[in-house]
Amino acid sequence: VWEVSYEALFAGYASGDPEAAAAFVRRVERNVYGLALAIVHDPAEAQDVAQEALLRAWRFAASFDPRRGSVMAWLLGITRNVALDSVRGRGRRPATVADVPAAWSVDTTDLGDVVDRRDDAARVIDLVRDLPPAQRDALVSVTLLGLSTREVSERDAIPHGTVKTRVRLALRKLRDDMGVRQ
Amino acid sequence: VTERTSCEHVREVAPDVALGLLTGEERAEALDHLEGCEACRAEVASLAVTADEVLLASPEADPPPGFADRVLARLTSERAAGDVLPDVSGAPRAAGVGPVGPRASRPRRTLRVVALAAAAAVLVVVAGLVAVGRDGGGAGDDVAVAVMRTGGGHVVGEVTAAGSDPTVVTLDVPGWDEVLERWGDAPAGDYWLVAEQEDGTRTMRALATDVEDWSMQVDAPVDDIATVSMVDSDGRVWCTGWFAPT
Repeated sequence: VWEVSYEALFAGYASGDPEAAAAFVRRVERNVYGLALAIVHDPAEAQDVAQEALLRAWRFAASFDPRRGSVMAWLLGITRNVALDSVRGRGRRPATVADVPAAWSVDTTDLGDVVDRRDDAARVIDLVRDLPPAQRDALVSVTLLGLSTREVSERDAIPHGTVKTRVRLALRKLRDDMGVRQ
Repeated sequence: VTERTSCEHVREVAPDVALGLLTGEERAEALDHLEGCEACRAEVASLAVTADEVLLASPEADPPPGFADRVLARLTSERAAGDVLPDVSGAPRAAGVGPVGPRASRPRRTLRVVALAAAAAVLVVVAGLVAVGRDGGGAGDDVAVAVMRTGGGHVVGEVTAAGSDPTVVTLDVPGWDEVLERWGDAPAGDYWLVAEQEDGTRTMRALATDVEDWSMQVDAPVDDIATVSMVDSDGRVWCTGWFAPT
């Protein structure tokens, strides 16, 4: 069992150390694949996305700055971007009214079924869950699903200005609750 | 300072900036303000960190069996290839390579301009660069691909030269996108895209950092292009791709 941090494993992954690379990939694969699947909704495509995200993280490891956040958040940011590229590259839009089942919003905002989280992730989940539901849905749609506020507005049939306000309030509240320094 | 670019306004839209939701003139104005306002930069940075952390709340799922082994095998093969990037000529992908690759990325904003024929002194300093090689492209076009490296040797993207006199040079720096999205205080200011031919002739194009797709036309065959660089307004080279001589 690896007891070293994500950051230490990632350093080994970036340098090409085979043992560290294997440990890193196995530790993060559920997160990376899970997010990819949540966005692309296709297991085969999600696998391609997850693989590309991990390879891209290795290629651009030098751009990771630990002062700016955790390895996992950085890696998931890459995963989200690759997933959105894949969705939009195929002429689709993620999570629109037309192509996303109603269960989508349930899958991604009902965070109660997430298990085996590390402490930091669990804390984030708790804080996200504590947001007012409308704010939480708007923020999750923008951050996790990569929707624009206008797309959220169209999806939920609410004024665009309302969505923007909800996202702004939610992000500020979360920042304050998380104690992120300004 | 106009009212729109006041601290009050930028603070109001700071979450939008942190989330990359602003576009066009509004985004440009906000970034312009941030360049000179440390307090607002700190505000945006804290929100950007928070937005990144939200990703930790994403759902998990078990990948198909053997997923990690396939990733590690790809990693091993890429390392063995010495940073050679996948073919981007449009040819069918190799087995095991999925539909998502660096070139299948987000829609590109394109700068297609008639190149300036610039001669003059050598500006581009090329050091410690790795040649990649040339590929035969489809439809009669030649395609060459090279990795872009910073002076420190970090691979930050790739450059593609495609066509046969004129050649379209396209720069793809995903790392740059990440930097811009994550950090409000990313390297600011305009850059130049500089293609240098083997006879020393240079073609340059101003490269605004708020433009995603960085392309330009070079009035030369692809085989004549030696290097492509990103150079800042002070003449400092940020990264360079070096095409192998034929």
